[in-house]
Amino acid sequence: MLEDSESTTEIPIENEIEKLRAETVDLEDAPLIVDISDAVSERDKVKFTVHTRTTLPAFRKTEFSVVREHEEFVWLHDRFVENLDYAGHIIPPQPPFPDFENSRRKLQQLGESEGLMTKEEFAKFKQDLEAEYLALFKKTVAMHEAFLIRLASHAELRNDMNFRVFLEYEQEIGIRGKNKKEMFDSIKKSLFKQADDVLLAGQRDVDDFFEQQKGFLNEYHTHVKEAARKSDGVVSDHKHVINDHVKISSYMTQLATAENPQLSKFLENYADIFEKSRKLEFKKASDRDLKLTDTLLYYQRETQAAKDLCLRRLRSLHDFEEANKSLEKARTKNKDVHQADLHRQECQARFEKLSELAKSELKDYRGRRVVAFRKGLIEMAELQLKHSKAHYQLLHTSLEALRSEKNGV
Amino acid sequence: MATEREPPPLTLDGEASKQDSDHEGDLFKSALEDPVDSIGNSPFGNSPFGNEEENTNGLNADFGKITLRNNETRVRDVENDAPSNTSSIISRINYLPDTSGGDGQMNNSYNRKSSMDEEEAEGEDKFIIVTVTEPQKVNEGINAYVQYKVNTETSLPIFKKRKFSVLRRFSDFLGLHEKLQEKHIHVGRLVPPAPEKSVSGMVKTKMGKGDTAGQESNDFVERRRAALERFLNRTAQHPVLRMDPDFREFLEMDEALPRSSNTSAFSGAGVMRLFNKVGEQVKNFTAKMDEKDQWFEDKTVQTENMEVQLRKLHASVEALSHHRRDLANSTGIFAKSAAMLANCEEHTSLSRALSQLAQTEEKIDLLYQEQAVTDYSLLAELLRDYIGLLGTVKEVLHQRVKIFTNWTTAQTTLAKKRETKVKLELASKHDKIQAAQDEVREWEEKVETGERDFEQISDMIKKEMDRFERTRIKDFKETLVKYLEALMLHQQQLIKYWEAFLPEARSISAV
Repeated sequence: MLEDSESTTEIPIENEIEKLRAETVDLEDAPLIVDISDAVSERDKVKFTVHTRTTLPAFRKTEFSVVREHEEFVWLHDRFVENLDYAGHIIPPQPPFPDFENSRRKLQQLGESEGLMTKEEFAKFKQDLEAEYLALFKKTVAMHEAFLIRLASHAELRNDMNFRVFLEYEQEIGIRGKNKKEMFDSIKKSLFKQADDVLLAGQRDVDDFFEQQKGFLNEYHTHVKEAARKSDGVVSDHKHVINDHVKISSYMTQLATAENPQLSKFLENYADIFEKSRKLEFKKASDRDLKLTDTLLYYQRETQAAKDLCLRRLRSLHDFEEANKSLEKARTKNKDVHQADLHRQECQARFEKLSELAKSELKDYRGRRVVAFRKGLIEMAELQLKHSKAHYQLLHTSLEALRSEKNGV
Repeated sequence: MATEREPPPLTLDGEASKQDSDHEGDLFKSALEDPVDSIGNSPFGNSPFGNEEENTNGLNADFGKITLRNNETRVRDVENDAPSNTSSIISRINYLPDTSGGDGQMNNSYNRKSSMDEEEAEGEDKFIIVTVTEPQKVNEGINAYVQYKVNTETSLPIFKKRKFSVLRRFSDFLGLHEKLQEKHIHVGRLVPPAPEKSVSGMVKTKMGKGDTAGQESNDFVERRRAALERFLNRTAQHPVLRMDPDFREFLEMDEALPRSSNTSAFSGAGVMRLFNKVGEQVKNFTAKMDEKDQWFEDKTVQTENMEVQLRKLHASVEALSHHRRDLANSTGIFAKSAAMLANCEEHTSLSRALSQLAQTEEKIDLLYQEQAVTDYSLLAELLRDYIGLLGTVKEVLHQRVKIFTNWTTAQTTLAKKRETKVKLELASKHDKIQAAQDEVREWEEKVETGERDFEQISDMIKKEMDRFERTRIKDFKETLVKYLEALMLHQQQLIKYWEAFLPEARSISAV
């Protein structure tokens, strides 16, 4: 699979996405349903086929598909972030860049050390890497789809012009990677954001709810990020253990050939047990990755989006207070009072609207978080349980067989 | 099989019995019980128990006084299932002179022909189990050492009691191994190797502060303890080695053993030993013989082969254990992060579920650690032990080559001497003929001995290898099954943990 990535590779996308999809409902309840019906890996980019079904009158057809790349998703995300009309919403986090570099590098390393191992070992390592790559690919697709689903199911965000263009426009949207000016802009933006953070750090909140939320989100983000990182560490350490199984199984088979006939069969069987155990350990590790690490990672990004929302609100509050000050000044100077008052009213209205929206958005975020964790934790526990049971069963039957063989000889 | 050759059965009468100079008088009285067991019917058969114990005991019992002979002495060793009445083995260690008093004892004990079946039978109703317990640090600083309690339980009548314990330190084990090796390797017996010395281990012992010694140090002591126990049991299961006076003294004698200087790590003798070992290995490469016996040819190849495979497997099992420990650590670290996240989570039932997850992961951390220990103590140690044992096999095979070389050298020399004698006769130098005749006779004897020695070590090795293979297969199967059982229990634990966690996850109220 991996070595074919030069050419076009079709990746079957199955259950993971099915599950996400299951969250969206029929057209009757939801006027806009988006899914990624296909994804193709071409050299260093992935092409997603975005499939839409809708009853919204703004769209020309009721069902259509377009091909989009990762950069276009980023573009869409940025449009939402930039639009002040959405300042009160949590903007769904942009999907992570499809990064297969790691997998490619590992495969390359494997290729270089091909001479150092037996064919079987090589085949197994390759098989594991391919499975890993496939899982990563599926995950990437799922993340991109989740982003679109979040937008499509949001009563306000789904009506966005840019979103419609993204879903409907059959040509490429005229952005392919950031050019120099855009790069510069994004650096400038992030600098401003940091300056904002500093500026707004001292901003006292008038509303206890938000003050408390801000504290919570900051702390939560730190911990969820840490937990995601550590969980990833567990998975990668588990991979080492799994690779050792390959070696042991292979060496045991080799030993069996040099062995006394009374032992060689026994060792062959034993090598086989290691091989089967490896597969189960692999499942344990990758399902943990999928159900736990990914939930944590996703909520690391969601929490960041919620933090951003709080920041936008604070900025708005700051503007409002500044407007108040300007009005005071104008009053004392008795100059441009009306203009200042208008500006103040505008700021107040924007701030109040934003606050109200933000409140419900944060509640939604909380609800989504609980649901997602519940689902992730349950599924992980179920899968770990399933794999452990299978492992136990494997060892149990193997033991019976070995014991009878041992006694039989 | 030794052929019907006729060297007189007990030429060692009055010549030599073997005993290390360390052994004092009454230690082996109990051995006197033994001949009763080992009396057989074959008139010239040999006792599987070796004559040295009997001899020594006879000697000690009757005379109690021992003198050391420095020159190399040939001794008829027993313990040979050859049908022939002869069983002489060249011994290169210093034997003690035998006396006629010991002779009677010997004759009795010789009258037994041993076979594998008899050994097996004996192994079943006579048991000996050794455990090594309570490693304890004695002294502090540079004089610190670890002392072990060595407990024996046995039904072998040669031991004075059925159950006894002694205190021994690590260097005592090495000393025991050294002595057994000196006595038995050259006749082709496979002496189980003692655990290796480890400088880092020694440093840990010396530097570690009493009870507060770290986990690492505890692990080390436990691994060594288990290795020492396996060493003693392997020795105890050997039908001849377990009767060795040094072995019995090691298990039985209440007092501390005399400190042997050449087993301590930094001694000059230790260094010399290292050099000798290197020398041996070089010789292993150079000493080649034209192998006529296919069996030995096969065994040599198989041993080499297996050693290579075992080493590779051992390295990968050690890596597994190591990585499993890493996995345990990262799981533990994640558990802490999860607990922090749970603390911070404001949703009550999600928070509770996360803290349950943290606890589950903590348990899994411990389980992985246990697994890492199992990987090591069962699988890796088994493989390492057998790498060591294969080393002994190679050493014994090498001994045989050495003896073969001696024999062929003797043949060449004999041919030369005969030539000289013929030349002298032709030249009619009668004054020198007699001397030449003596030399020829001397070398004829050497050739005969050489051949005999070669036949005997070959037979012994075959027998020993047969036993070794049977124990090895059994050992492998048993340990591997034990390992799987441990793995299975671990999976059972995992099932329990996740089963306990699942309802916690389900009880998160989605509000």
